[in-house]
Amino acid sequence: MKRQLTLEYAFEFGALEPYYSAVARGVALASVCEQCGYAAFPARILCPKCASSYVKWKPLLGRAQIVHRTTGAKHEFALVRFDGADTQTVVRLHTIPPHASHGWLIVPRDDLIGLWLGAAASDAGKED
Amino acid sequence: MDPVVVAGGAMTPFNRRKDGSSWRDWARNTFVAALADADLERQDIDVLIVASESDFFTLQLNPASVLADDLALFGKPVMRVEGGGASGHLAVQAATMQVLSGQADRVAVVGVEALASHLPGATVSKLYGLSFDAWTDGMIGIDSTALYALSAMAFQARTGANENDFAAVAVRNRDNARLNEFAHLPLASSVDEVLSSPIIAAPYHRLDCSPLSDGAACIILGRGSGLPDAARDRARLVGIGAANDRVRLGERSDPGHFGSKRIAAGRALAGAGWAHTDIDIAEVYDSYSGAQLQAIEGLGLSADVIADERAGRFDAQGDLPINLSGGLLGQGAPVGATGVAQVLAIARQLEGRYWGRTPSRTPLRGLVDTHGGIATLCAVSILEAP
Repeated sequence: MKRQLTLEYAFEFGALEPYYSAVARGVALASVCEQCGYAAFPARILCPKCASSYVKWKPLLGRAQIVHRTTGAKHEFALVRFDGADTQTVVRLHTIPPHASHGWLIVPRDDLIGLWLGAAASDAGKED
Repeated sequence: MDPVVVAGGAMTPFNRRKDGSSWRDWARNTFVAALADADLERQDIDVLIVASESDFFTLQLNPASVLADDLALFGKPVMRVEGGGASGHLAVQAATMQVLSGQADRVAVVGVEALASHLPGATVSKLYGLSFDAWTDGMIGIDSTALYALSAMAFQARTGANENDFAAVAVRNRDNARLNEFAHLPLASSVDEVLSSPIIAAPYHRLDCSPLSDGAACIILGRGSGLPDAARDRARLVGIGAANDRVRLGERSDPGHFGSKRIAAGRALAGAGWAHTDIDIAEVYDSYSGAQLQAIEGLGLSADVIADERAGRFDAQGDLPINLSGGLLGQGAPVGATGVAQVLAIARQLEGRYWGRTPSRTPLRGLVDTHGGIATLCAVSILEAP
């Protein structure tokens, strides 16, 4: 017997809305702890280092150093470190040459709000 | 911690099931078989704990209610435990706590998953992409193998492990599985064959990856005084521990290190009153070949896991035989059942009645390691021989 279920979700991001709005524009918005100074990207509501709730938003340049990269079933991914962030981040790669050492956050190339890294600064998002 | 006895257990074959049977049949059959192994009756069970990872795989929400009903257990405390890949083991730990607290004398743990038979593999892979952080990892469409691959690369960079080391694990585990009648992928293979199989996400080739499996496993835990003679003198659970890590790989100080396994193992060993060096057999979570080496390192079972791997320490004839069942790579991995089956395997090894490959020396103290995510939820339990 076959059975099909189609589900369509409507997401709200709550306290993380500023982060997702920025990513949708290709802008890297980190959260910086006012207690210990730890900068997290992707952003967090509580500091991952000291658990303080006193965090503020801080735009990053959007440039990231590629640490490791691999190719999944269909796409390429990498573990990168964005300039100005204390955390590393997993991103999707878009037309990054095989031996490139860095890339730039770009506007997502699909209808989800994920972190994509492109080759050129000119492709990077701009803060309004 | 007073010992809790593994009174009995059973498992189905782990495979891709196309015989018309259902996950509800597998759960029921293992429960009945476990009861028989423990020489207990249905009415002797005080609590039922069900482990399954995702309702998406069966299109059945609240599976514990349905299975309790299928098993004709009524008026009992019934619960479902979920912790990703660690679901089955966490369910065993929940059952252990039920017995230790005195809430129950005999607890049945049924782990079940239909990973291979209801949905296409590509769909299952897509769902697994939502099992890390769905709001970050899930938003970029990364799959499980690619995430594990990034972690493995960090491990390789630090330890000098290479693809040959990973492939050797896959070869050995599947060779161990050849003696396991329940195994999904018993296989005589070579390192060259593993490295020649298609790349899924570098450095992982297809044969470095564990399969999607269907199956179920059940164990029954109890206190010695509440068990029949046949079940009383069986392996004992003497330590349990669990710990979580940061869900996003990039937030870990070393993305290649399974740090929370050390915490979980420390808690379990403290409960048992033992040291890492006291362990003489283990079943660890080898979702990927490299992950087995990461697990051994994270658990603190080896000071130089690559050197020990190359020296054969983890072979059946070695000092610390690991995954003689075949592990996830060879035995298979129906997620909710995996941890339950790992505990069953170690219990049977310690009792001298394991059905598959056995070590050259009779083990006395065993360790079981299971995790969810990328070693994000870690469960470790310690068992001792009767």
